[in-house]
Amino acid sequence: MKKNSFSQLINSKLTNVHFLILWIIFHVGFLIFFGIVYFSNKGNIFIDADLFNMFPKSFNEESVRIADEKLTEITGQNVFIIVANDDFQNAKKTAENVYEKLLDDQINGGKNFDSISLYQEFGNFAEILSSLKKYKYNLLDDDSINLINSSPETFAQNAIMTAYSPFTVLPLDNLEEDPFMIQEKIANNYISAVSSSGIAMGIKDGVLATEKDGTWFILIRGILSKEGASLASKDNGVAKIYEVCNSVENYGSRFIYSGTPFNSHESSNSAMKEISTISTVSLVAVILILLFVFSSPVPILCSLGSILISIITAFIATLAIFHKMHILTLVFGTSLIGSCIDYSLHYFTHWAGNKELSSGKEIRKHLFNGLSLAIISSAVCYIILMFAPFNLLKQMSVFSISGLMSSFLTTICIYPFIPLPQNKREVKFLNIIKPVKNKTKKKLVGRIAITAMFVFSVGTIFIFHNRFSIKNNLYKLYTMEGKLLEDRKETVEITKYNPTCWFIIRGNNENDVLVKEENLCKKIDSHSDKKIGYISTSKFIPSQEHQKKSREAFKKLLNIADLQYEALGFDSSYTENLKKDFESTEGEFLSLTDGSVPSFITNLISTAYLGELNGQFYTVVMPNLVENSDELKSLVKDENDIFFINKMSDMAQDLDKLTNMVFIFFAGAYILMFVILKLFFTWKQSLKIISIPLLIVLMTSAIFTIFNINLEFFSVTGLILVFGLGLDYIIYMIENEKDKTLKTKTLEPFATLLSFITTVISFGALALSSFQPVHLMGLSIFIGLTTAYISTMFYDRSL
Amino acid sequence: MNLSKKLFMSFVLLCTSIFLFAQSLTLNSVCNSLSKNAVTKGNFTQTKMVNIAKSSREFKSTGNFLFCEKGIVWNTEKPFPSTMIISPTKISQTNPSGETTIISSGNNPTLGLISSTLTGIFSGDISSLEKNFNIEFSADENSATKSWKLNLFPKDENFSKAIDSIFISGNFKENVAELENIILTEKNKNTIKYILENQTVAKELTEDEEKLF
Repeated sequence: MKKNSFSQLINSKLTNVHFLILWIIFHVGFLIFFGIVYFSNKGNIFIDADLFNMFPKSFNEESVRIADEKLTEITGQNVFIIVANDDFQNAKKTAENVYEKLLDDQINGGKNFDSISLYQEFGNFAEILSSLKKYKYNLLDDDSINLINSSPETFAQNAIMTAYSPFTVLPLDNLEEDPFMIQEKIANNYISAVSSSGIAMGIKDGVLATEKDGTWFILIRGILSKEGASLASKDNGVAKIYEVCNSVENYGSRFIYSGTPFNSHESSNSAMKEISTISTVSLVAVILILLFVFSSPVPILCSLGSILISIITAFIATLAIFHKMHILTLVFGTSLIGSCIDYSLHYFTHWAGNKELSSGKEIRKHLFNGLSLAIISSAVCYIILMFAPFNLLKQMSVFSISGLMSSFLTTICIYPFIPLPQNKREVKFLNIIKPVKNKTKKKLVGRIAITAMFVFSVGTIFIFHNRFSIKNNLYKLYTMEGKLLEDRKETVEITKYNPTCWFIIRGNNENDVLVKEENLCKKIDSHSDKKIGYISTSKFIPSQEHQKKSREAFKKLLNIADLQYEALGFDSSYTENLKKDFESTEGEFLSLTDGSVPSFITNLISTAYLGELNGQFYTVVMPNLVENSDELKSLVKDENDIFFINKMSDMAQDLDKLTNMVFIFFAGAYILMFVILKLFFTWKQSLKIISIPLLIVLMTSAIFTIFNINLEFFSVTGLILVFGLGLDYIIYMIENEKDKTLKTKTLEPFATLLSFITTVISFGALALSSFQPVHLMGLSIFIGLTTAYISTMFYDRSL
Repeated sequence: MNLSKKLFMSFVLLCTSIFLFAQSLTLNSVCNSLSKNAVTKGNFTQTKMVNIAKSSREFKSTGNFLFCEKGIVWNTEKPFPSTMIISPTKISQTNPSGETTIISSGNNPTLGLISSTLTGIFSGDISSLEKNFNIEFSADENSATKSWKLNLFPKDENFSKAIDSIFISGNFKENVAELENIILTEKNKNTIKYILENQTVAKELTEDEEKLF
């Protein structure tokens, strides 16, 4: 047989030293690779705990996806600290204490915040508008333009009426330069744009505040820096906020925290706790098993060493390739403990108990085929995941392949150097595996059992077919709890600000994108009767097209300027000055690209204007609070350059697509594995082996339908991983059956049983996770592996 | 009762009366008196003095007003009709063609301050006045109709950028306070003067008035 000759060739030509060199090349190679990547990226390699990054990237057009990612990057690092107190002054004093302490930290070298603000300057419109004086003729709103075009006299009369009205936003001392009071109009438009574009809080005593049911709420806003948002650091921005708020004099105030970083911080902390728990449980279980079975420190120390090396290798390989690693990859990665130990268990079972093998080299030679096929089958499945358009899967794939490969190499390259035990060679509890006397009866029972498993799973799926669905629901995957949930609810109640969906507008240049945005805003206003508040760029910086229209309209007012001045008690000489001023601003446009926009506006629209990305311009229109997203979506169904983004719903749909895609990958891996198996085994053996993944999928689906659990992305991903690991058992057993040279046949089934127990313990621990994606993945792996082991036992003919 | 005791009691009574008399015209008593009227209506004359190009210009208008707990209605009749309604949360202005502009008072601090000041005075909520202003109160009790003056200087930095002071004066005829003048001085020394006349009080708003808020 080809594989036997290949195996014999490797084992006869290569010495232990050759294998050692191979092990060093593999591990040192990854270490050098990591070092190069680390230094070339100036240490910018990190653990990513952003919840949204746990989900696949949108299937939207690449350019829109980039724009959406930029938006998420901007908004995802916003933090809101609300100080609540029955007394406004006490709330303000507390807010000032927090603000000053956070600011002090920044001044003293802290790098947690890009910005932090408490005091609001948007109170003095006269000062603000003086910086826009040059553009005043360009900034009339649609209603004013329409009124001027239809009746300039009415517009002029309204201006005089405003001058006589009880209160005006701006002082009247600019009347000789602005007889039509267009600056008053612009100020009013800006006020209404500001009030409808953000949180429902007003400026009181220089801070953003609101009162509800006798309690005052004051807002401190911050944007975390990259360092501040880093969850790998214990002194990150969120930790700093908690530390400051807990230590300042608070005058009986309480704090309400809101923003994605607080959720990420919480989930990261709980994920870290889970990693510790899962690792501890798995390690303790493994140590106990090894201690009971081998009664020697050597297998324990070597296996733990192998696990440690595997995880470090997997960790640096993933970081080196992706430059970042999601926290979920790490959680999943810890379960590798169970898989990595498999190879060690097989080796040390023979090392401790197989008297027919007299050296490490002989043990390697005996195990080489089985272990090689096991790692090939696992690697094939994991490599398939590399083609999924989703970084988390790719990371898991690299983590698993590199970790398992390291463990495999340690087993075949390093372990043979370990001297065999000098005393009697025995494995405790080996007698629980007993050869069967009546092989015909065993064969019959096996066939009936396998058939029963197929019938049960297919029948269950048939009976409960209504419950069988591939559907993802993101709201079920991550649920806020405790204070975070309460704070979130209270923040939405206070601020009336909870943007859940938005429009991304694309244009060839600034003017183009703003024209499209203005059209969209008109649609939203007319659809909602101006009841939906939103942030948009064009409300503050109209398109050039709009600015030209505004100037054209103003020309009509110039024609009646004489009369207007007269009505206001000025002589007509002022008209000439007005005309000269108007002409002097010809060709001047307020534009973000030109940099002519004052900073208070750019700050206001920081989340709305994304600017130029890959040669195209993007803006965002973000409603404050949406009750019916489908209605908003329908407004742009015929638009090519306006995209409606509803992150949760879009991601669920994308996950559905990806889940189906993973099933296709599964089918691809299935066919590929069958071809590979056929190279090494007979038709009958190959069919036997390849029937196990099918049984795994059917049984897992059947159990999920019984308990009414949707087959969703993370459980299906779990199945792919089981595919990689579940084939190992049957391969070991068939190799054991084929090997006619050894008399001791119970060692291999015993090693397989130990493998199953350790693997199932580590994945079983995942199923206990409170984090839904981890829980579902762990559950499907647990069911899948159990099915794989039980069916392997019924297929086994080696004993 | 001996003489010294009688003298002492007389002294105590005299002091008490002087004290009680002095207390009759305090900010508290003025606000308490004003707050007893649920609704106050009357006519106003508004004069805006605007400093333009080294000279000053005057914009005079007249109309009627309404003060109540829910806010203020400012109905200008001449020379151009318009209605402004100020409530604690919003300000709306309607022009003769029926076009209404609504502004949240939170986003217009000046108007928000005026609204909370006037509603503070009329509701007798002195503590809210003290939070927002440094207060100077004086009373003239020698004239036939006792008069009082209230000068308010904004504490808030943002407000003081726009408003220099609010001067309010009135009388205290027959122990009932009445508000007569309001002068709002802007930072640039422009002034808006309101003269309030022909005031009447009511216990509640009419149905039509209720609809305004």
